This record gives sequence, C-alpha cells and structure tokens, in this order.
Amino acid sequence: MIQLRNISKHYPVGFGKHEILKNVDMVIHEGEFVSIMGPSGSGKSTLLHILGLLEEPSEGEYLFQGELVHKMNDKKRTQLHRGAIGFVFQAYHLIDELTVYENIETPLLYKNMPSSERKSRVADILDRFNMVAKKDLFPNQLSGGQQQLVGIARAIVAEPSVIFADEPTGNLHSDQAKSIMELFAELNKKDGITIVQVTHSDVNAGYGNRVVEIMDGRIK
Amino acid sequence: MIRNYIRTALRNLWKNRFMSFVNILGLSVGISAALVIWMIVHYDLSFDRFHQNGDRMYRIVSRLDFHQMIINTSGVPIPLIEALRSQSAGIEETAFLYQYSPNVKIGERKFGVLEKTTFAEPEYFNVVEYKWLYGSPVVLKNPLQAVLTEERAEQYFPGTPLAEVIGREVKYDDSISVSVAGIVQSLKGRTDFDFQEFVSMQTVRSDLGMQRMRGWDSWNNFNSSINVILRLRPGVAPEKIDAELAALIKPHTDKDSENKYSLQPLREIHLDPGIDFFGQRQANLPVLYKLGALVVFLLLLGGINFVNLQTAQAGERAKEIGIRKSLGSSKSSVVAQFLGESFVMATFAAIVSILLVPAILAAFRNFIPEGVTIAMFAEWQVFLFIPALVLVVGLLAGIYPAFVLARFQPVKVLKNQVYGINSKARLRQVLTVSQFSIALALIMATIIVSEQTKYVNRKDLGFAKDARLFVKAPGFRATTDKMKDQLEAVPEIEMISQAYSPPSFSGTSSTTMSFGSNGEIKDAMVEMKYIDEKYVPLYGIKIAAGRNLLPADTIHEVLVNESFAKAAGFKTPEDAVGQLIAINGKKHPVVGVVADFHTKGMQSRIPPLALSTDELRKTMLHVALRKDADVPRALDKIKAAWDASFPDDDFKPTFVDEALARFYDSEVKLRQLLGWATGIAIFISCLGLLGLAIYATRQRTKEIGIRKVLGASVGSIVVLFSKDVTKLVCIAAFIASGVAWYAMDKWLTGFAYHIHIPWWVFPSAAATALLLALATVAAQALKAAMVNPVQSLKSE
Repeated sequence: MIQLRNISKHYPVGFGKHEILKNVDMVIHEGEFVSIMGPSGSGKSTLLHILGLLEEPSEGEYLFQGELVHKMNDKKRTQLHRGAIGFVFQAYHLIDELTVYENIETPLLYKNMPSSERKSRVADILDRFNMVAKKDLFPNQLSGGQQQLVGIARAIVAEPSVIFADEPTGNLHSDQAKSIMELFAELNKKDGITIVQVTHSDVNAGYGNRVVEIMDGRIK
Repeated sequence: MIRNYIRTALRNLWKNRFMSFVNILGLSVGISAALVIWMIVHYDLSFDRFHQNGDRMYRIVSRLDFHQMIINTSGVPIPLIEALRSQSAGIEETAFLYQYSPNVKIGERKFGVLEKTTFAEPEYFNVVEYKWLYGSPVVLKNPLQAVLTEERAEQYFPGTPLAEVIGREVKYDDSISVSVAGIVQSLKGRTDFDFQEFVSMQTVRSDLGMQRMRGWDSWNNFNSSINVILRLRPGVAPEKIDAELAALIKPHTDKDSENKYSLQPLREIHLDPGIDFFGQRQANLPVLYKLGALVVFLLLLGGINFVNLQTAQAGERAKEIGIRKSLGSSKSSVVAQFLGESFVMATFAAIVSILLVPAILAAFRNFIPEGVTIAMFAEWQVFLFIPALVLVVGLLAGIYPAFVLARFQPVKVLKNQVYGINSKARLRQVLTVSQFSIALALIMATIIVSEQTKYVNRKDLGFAKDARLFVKAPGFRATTDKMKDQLEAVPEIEMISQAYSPPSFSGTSSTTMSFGSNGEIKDAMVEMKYIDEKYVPLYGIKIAAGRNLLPADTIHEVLVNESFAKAAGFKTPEDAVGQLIAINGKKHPVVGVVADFHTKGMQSRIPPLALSTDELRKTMLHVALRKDADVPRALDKIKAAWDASFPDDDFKPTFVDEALARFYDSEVKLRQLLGWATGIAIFISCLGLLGLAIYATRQRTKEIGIRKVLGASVGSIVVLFSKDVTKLVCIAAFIASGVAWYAMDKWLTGFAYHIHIPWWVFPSAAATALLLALATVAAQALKAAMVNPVQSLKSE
C-alpha cells in the first residue's frame, strides 16, 4: 500500500544543503507492522512525516494506496488524514482544552459523521480501552500512559488503514510501554491495521514483523 | 463541529481570562459607541417617514441674496400663498402655518408663554393627517377657534373629560379670547410637526391690527415663523413649481434680485439645520459623520488589540492547530474555528456594550437628542444592528489572525518549531504604532482645542462683560420708563441703558448704508446697533475719536467702529468724524468712532458696524451693577421692580458673560467629547500593550533567567523590555504630530481670531503617552525580572 521510490529530503543551509534522507526506496504492504530504527538524527522521524503526508520529499516518488502523493491537492490529503491515516505522537499531542471524550470525537467531527454513529463509536472505543470512567477528564488530569491510550484511541476511532506512530512509548516507563505495544500488536493482528512506528527500543521493535534500519539518511 | 469549536473557544477564553477581558473591554467600548451613534443616526433619519403621500410633500424655502449676506429661510410672504392657490395647477393642497407664541391665560390661571402653537387653516389637516377625537378641520374656518391636542387639553384643563373641554375659553396675550372647537391626537411616530395647539387663521385675517403688525400684505416679508407645506399632484416635478414660485414673486421684488425659491422634500427638512423648522432640533449630518469617524477609530483600537493578542498567542495555539490538521482538519476549518472564536468574543463584547449603553446615554446627555433612549432597542433597525455589528467586528478582527494560524505547517508545530511571537512581531509593531498614533493625535487635538478655548475666553473683547445683564422688556414704553426710573434708585446699580442687543449678540440687524468720501461703501448691508447715550459708557466701549451720541428718538447722530471707518477709506478715525453717512438713503452725521469690539464669537471677524439711536427699537434694558454689589440682592431688587411693572411676565435676565459663553457651546462640547475619546483611546491602547507585555515576559521567562544567572541587574532587564516600546511610541508621536497639526490647523481656520499651535503640544503629548506606555510595560518586566532565576529555569 505504500511505495517510496528514490526519496530524498534536504534543507538549504547557507550556500549548501543539509541532506536528511538520501535515495530511500521502501515498500510497505497492507497488514504489516514495521519498525523504523536508527540513531538520533538519522532521519527516521522525517521519513515518518513524509509517509504521513505531513512533509513533502524534495525528490522522488511516493505512492500511497497506488496514488502519487505529490500530485494530490490539499483537499485530497486532508481527506486521507480524515480517513486512511492515524497518528500517534511521542508527546501524545492531545488538545488540552478538550476532554478525553471530545478529543476522541474530534476526528469523527472532521469526517462529518452523524451524531448518533459518532456517539456509539466513541463509546465503543472508550469501552474497549477501559476509559469510560475517565471520559470527562482533561488531558492534564491523566498519567502519561493514560494520555497515550487516549492518543491511540483517537488515532483508530476513524478506522484508518494505517497508523504512523512516532516513538509512541518514548515518554512512558516500561510497564506502560509494554501495555501500549501489546495494544499495537493487537490492533495489527485483530483489526488488520497497518502500523509503522519509529522507535529506539529493540524490545518495541520485537512486537513488529519487520525492522527497517536507517543510518545517515540511508536504509541499510 | 460548531459545538466543538465553541467549546474550545469558551475554554480558551476562560484559560486566558485576562487577555479575554482586555479584548472584550476594548471591543465593547467601540461597539457601544457605534451602537449609540447608530441610534442617533437612525433616530434622525426616521423623522416624518410615516405620512401618507409623504413623498409628495414639500416646504417652500428661499435663498435671499442681500449682496453682502445670504439668508436661507423657510419664511414665505403671505400674498404668495393666495397666488399659489389660485394660479398653480401642480399643487394638490397648500398648508399655511403661522407659528405663534402667545402668553396664555385661562380664567385667572396663567400659563406663561407657550411654544408649539400655530395659526392654521383646515387645509393643513388635508396635508398632514391627524386623528380627530372631537370636531373636524372645518371648525378652523371661523375666527377665534382653537383645536388642542389631548396633551395640551390635559395641561389646560387637568382632569376634565375631553368632551367638556369643547367650548371652553383660552385667552392669548390678554387680548384674544378663543374657544376650543376640536381635539386631535398628537401624531404618532417621530415628527417635527409636534404642534399642540392650532388657532384658526381666520382669527388673524379678521383682525386688521394683527395683520398690520405681521406685514400681512408684504411680498418682501420672509418671516421664518410663516411656513408653507404643500402636497404636489402625482407626477408633478418640484422643479416646475420652483419656476412658478420665481415667476410669481419676481414682479414684486427688485429687478436685479438674485433670490432663489425652491421646494424642499419633506424628508430633507429634519436634516437641514441651515433652514430652521419652527425652532425644532434638527440633525447635523457633518457632526454625525465626525462622530462616525470617531467610532471607526474606537473600533479600530479594540480590533487592533484583538489582532495583536491573538497573533501573540499563536505560539500557544499552534500545537492545537497542528494536531487538528494531522487529524484531518482542512485549512478552511481552522479558519472557521478561529473566526468562530472572534465571533464569540465579539458577542461577549456586544453584551457588555448593551449594558454600557444606558451609562453612555446618561454621560453624553448634552450631545444626544432627547428622543434617543434605551427604548429604541425595540425598533428592529436598532435591534438588528447589534448582530450585524458582531458579524462585522468579528470578521474584521478575526480574519487576519485566523489566516495566520491556519497557515501553520503541522509538522513544524509538532516538532516545536513555531515561535508565534517572533514571526509576527513586525505586524504587531505596526499595529501598536497605529494605535498610539490615534491616541496621541487625540491627546494633541484635545490640548489644542482647550488652548483655543482658553484664548477666546481671555481675549479682550473691547467691552466690559462682567456684572452686566440685559432683559427684554415686554413692550409698553411708558411702563418700561417708569420701571427704569425705579431702578435708578437701587444703590447696587451703577448704570442703566435702553437699547437693542448687547455688544456681542447672536442676532444681527443690518441696514443699507453708504459711507466714504469717494463712495467706497455704496448701498451695502451693514450691521447696526440701536442704542442710547448710556450704552457706550455702560459697556466701557472706548471712543477712538469724536464724541458719544446725544439723546434722540430717531436715527440722528451716528457712531461707527474703526473697521467701518477703515473700510470707508478713512486713514485715521479722526478723518471719519464729521462725515455724512447714508442710512436707508437718509444722511446723518458721524459724530464719533468707537474702538473695535467683538460683536460675535471669535469665529467671526469684527464687521463694519454703525451705532445710532432709535426709540422704537430700544426693546432691551441693560444694567451694569456696581463692582462691589451683592449680585443676588441686586437681582431681587430688579425683579421686585419688574414684577410691579410687568406682573404677567416672568423676569428672565441674561448675564452678558453667560450669553458670550454660548458662542462657544460647540467648542466646549467638542473639548468634552475629545477628552472622552482621548481617555478611552489611551485606555484601550495601554490595555493592549499590557496584554502584549504579559505575553512577551511570559515567552522570555527563560531568557530573563539566563541573563540573571549571567549577572544582569533588574534594571537592565527592565530597560531591555522598555526599549522597544519607547521606539514605537516615538514613531507614533511623529505620525500623530503631523496628522494633528494638519487637522487642527484646519480647525483653527474656523476662527477669525485664533492661537498659533504652540510647539510644546507635541513633545508634551508624546511624553504623556510614553510615560503611560512605559509604566505599563515596565511593571510587567519588573515582575518578571524579580523572579528568582532558579524557578524560571527549572520550569522549562
């Protein structure tokens, strides 16, 4: 479902340029759980952002579900963010002014889902993640693990075909990390969601079925 | 979705309570000012819009050209009315109104002089439709009949059923007895036709004495209390009647008269203060335009605060926007969300403004027409103006920040690469400079206006104004003379003069004169004052050459002022003495030249002026009190003498200095208004600055901490923060100085005698604004600088 052909990314620095990704080729099939690994500054987050349509490559072609990404207009990309793609961030990135319930509901609002269906979907997710009692709390009233749970709930509520996770457990201690990773594995197996995560940890990479190692902007 | 936006908006408002307060307060000041001005505009524009066939109703107005003087009047010579009725085919109905202010007595009860009474014919009621409770228009066909409104009937005969009021007697000026023949309802809706009492025109027509007194047969009598309201036949162009008017009047005036006569549409009457309508308050459109401009400024100031604070906050809001975009929010939905926030803000501001309106109406009573009240909220034009204003203000204030916020790249936001406060700092500087330019220009204008008012009050007028009063005597020379003799005996009184107007007077009386050995002044309209031999010494007017007038009953000897002597070509005042002056074609000797004195406010140049005696026009009694006199006691004594001589008339004296102050009513009002606007502008600007200062210090907490660890003193940190503001206020001061100088220089040309704008106005205004701005910013900087750096660095 994802195909990168000769992708490069560089920023202008002074008179030269700073290369982050160099000639990356990669294929990710539907239903895979891929872990991108590499040292700090190797370009893995940039790669994830390109995959998630948050950033554009400087060169190369990217096909998402068989379509060329750089030919898509803003509207089409927004459409993909609404339906096909879900994000989970290291810093959770919940909206501080909204409650747990409202945070999870937001993607469905952007999809213009009717109110009754929205309510039942959010209720299902809350139930599945055992968070019904916390639905009216604000993010700052939750622990880090709970916040990341909300982040994942928000990512899957719109039933995306792929989730991009940027060091989803980077800010959590190991117990919490373990349950989060188990949740990802379950989503991958039971729900058939393709997952692409960036991680530093070999343990976390073990939950996936393939590891892509990246070094100085190149895939090894 | 909308609920989701409103929810985040409200929670954000609450989270940033202080900023919200600043924004709402700033916007509400502008909105409430806009609301009040709109109420005034709507009030003035809705006069006399309800008449049937109102689009065919006109009044006759004339532009009389006296060569030196143009007079616009709604007065109509009475013979013209009959001529119109018999000769003009385009007119459907002609109503002839003759305002009358009688001294009313019913039995033994005195009502004093009552306004809002007019002579009228039945035809008037065909043009302006009234609801008749008793009687019908025909009753006005007979002499000595009166029709009252319900209100007037209740005033005259309190508690009496209306049916019993019919046939009762009302006495005018102790000589005319009329009987009440009908009762009508006052017109509903806003109208300048608010007469309370109609007396049959036949009353005048059948009384030769009254006719003679009122110049009944004269084609040259354009008395503004005689008006004609007419209704044209459908399809008749008013220009056609204009031509007919000129053709009818022409044979009766000078061949070379350049007078112009025209029809003025009903809806323009209320909006033309140049031509009075029976003394009604009329709308002054230029003033309304100026107030409108002021409102725009105030709204601008509030809007600038909103834009500044919202873009300064952008850094903090950026994360939310990034997340929303990654969840599938399009640019337009981010714009919609933030516009929604500004609408919420504007709505709150509107609610606050509605609460402010009664206070504003009370504070500005002197500027606001009486009919403008809170009750006007019930009118849809006012009611719907509020949401319309919310929409406009919300859109204008919100659109820019909304687009700035929507442009954020989510990936940068999520990587913490957005520093909103720096990226838009230039724009905020520009806006802050504009804000302070407005505030500063207002400060400067206020100072200049008050300097000019000080000047006009201090300037030597050429005559004495203190402890001098005048009162209009109600007639009957013999009685006035007797009273004057009585007053001569009052020890507090220094001198009494019988004359027409005081030296400075709002009214002007002018006559045709020729003066000058070579005919420099020929048949010109020159201002004339009718005085007696006591007038010049009483008012301390200096005689530059020759001598004072001797007592006389008619125009005999003449005094002229220096300006007149100069205009007539005499090099020195002495040269004019002994020359002959022609007044209305008759020659009289000039016996003296008086030094120039101001006959009007400082707006007008001192005109050429002649002074002479005329027994018939000495209708006012002028009294100078002794310097050490006890004024209230002296007034009591004068009043006692007055009451003995004129028991039926109220004693209404006017002090000369008070009458003078009236020349500057509009300047005093302007100064008050500017004072308010200045205060509000400074307040809003400083409030906005305070908001920005809070943000800047919050953003730079870490920087302050690091600087302190490196050894910076509290003082140096305060200086660091104050530098920018100083620069901005100085730029604003330059801009404002130019604008204020240009505008106020123009305003001063409205005065024939005015100050030169003093240089110190500009630096002192700038210093005031700078002081306020620095106080606002430095307080915040000081607070931040006093914090122990350990705390600020730990929190990161």
